[in-house]
Amino acid sequence: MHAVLAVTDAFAASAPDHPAVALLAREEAALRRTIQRYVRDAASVDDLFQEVAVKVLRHLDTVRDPLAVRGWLFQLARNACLDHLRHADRHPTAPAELLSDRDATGDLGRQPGERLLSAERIAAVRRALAELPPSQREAIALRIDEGLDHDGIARRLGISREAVEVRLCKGRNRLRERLAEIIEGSL
Amino acid sequence: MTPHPLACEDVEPLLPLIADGAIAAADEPAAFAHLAACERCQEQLALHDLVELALTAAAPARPVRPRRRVLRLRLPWAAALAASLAAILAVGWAVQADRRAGMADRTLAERGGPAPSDTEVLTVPGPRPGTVVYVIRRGDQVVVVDPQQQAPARDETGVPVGLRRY
Repeated sequence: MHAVLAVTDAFAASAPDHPAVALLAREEAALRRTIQRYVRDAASVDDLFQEVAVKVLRHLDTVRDPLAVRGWLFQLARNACLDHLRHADRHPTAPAELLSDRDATGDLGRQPGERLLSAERIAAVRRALAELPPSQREAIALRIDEGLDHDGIARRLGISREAVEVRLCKGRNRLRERLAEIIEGSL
Repeated sequence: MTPHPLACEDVEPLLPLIADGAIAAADEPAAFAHLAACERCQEQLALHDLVELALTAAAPARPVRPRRRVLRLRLPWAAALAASLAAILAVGWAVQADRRAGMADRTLAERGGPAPSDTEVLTVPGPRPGTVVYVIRRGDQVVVVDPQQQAPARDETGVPVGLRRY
């Protein structure tokens, strides 16, 4: 963490007029709030913010429209969080019982001891998937389990791309509603 | 194209597709501009993301390609300066300059042993159009090199005067 922190600090000290420096200073609070929606551990939030900052330093010049910058920053922060959570899920660094006490992740966890992706919540989402109407379940399964894009799903099912997206959206909305109920019920 | 300001009811139908990976900021800049400013829509999207993470949690991990760390230099004296910095940092790393326009590759530092895995050189667009700045990082040591600094004077140790080291 400290090495990455030094990169942005060193850059800010040696190139204070760089547009990325002013942008990061202005948007840091909003970026950290976005990150904290997914990750609550303070050290991880710092790491992820610095990871985003380095990407801003390297790629800000690719954003042509100044009005699109904030949306671009939000995408960078969100993608960094999702990659972090996917990696954490596949490579846990501590036994599950310690993770549930220590790995407080995001507002969606509500309580400091909750784990965002507990085994119970994953199982609950999978059960909710099984309860979806067959057309919605099938579309989501092809997307998740086989990695087909929307055109691929459309060809497989013999329907239009628009119909695929309607099924995916309806199914995902149902799963989101079910997950919100689960979180409110602190499962 | 300037994004047109959107309201929550315009963005909410897009959230499942954003979580699905079908829509990125470049596709819908107005939607992402709204998300950047709207706590409510961010929370809804985060729920969709959690669904996506839960659904894919059992999927096999995709292989991750190791990142190549390559120093790309465009100015001869910046290449020599980077080699001096490598010696100063006591880094036994070897880098290869990738010279375009028909110039031959050059190895800037001798490989004195196994290349440290924590050495990284970032090429960052400079503050002026068409310029670059190099950020060399090894562990906790960081050096920023601005090739636009012309003909730097050197101190008694051979380090360019004015070069910041952290």
